[in-house]
Amino acid sequence: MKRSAACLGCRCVPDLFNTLKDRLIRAGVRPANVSRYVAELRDHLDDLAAEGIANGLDNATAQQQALARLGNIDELATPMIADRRFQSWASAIPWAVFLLVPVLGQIAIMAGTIFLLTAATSAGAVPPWFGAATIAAQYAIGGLVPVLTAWIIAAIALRQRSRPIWPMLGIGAVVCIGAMLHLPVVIPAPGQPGMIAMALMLPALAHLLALLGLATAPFFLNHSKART
Amino acid sequence: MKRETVPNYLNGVPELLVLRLLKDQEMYGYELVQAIRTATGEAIVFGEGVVYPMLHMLEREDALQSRRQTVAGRSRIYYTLTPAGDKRLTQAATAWTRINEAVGGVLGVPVRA
Repeated sequence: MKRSAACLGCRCVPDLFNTLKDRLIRAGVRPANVSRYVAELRDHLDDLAAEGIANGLDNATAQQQALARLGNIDELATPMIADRRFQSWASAIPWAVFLLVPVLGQIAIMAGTIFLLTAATSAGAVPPWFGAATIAAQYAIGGLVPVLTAWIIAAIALRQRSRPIWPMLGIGAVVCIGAMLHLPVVIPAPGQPGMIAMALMLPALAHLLALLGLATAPFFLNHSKART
Repeated sequence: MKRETVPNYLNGVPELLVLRLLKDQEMYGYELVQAIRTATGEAIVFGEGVVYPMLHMLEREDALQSRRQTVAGRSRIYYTLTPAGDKRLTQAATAWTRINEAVGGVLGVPVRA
């Protein structure tokens, strides 16, 4: 067992660190900072307990003294929470992380796709793969991109225990945009020009519901996992 | 076990001590706290865990740099002073000396009615 001395004789230690971790993440501290902090605290506690044992204390007493020297949960949590520089972006500017950036990203992907498709063609010259590429692009923009974007939003929100309002707004926005954006492509025929356009149309209800179901699946999966 | 905390008027002192001790040699958190206890004769004692937010912040501000090393199967993060940290230490030490002399001067003057 890796956590040797510090884990003996007292069951409250994992609770202390889990509670501390949960409190810090809920307060908006970056998960990477929290993980490193808690890992260093665990090692420090191990060292303190080992020091106590080396000084002749029994495990339980060494553990208690180590915990007392490490500091209580309020002492340990306050400096991390109070310093805004430890805050995650998702906590500091949730509207940008969960709504603005995903929507702009979706629009940028759409614009990039149109640019690439346009660049691949020229007057009277259409590569043989162009038809398949346009179909793939249409599925990506109307399905894959919004669903993946929504899953990324959900993953960030769940990892950082964010309040649900901004993640839900972001997911709703990317799903609606995904269902409304269309990429009509007319492959040029001899004597007729082609067309690549970006259109915004009223979404089909089935498409919208399907996207919404897929996009929110991580939340329901996490919820049912938490209940079991 | 009763543990004293750092009084408000000692704000900045733990940072000064950390920078000074890391100037001599790189240390990991536990080592550093024990070095502070020893160097101050346990006059300055605080919740030992709170040294880490300070170390992380000093690292973010380029005053310290860290490296991870596995020792006896355990991964430790060693901290050391950077040139920017050395400059910060000089400024902090100068400020501390000035304040110490000023307060010492006041405390040294007998109060007359």
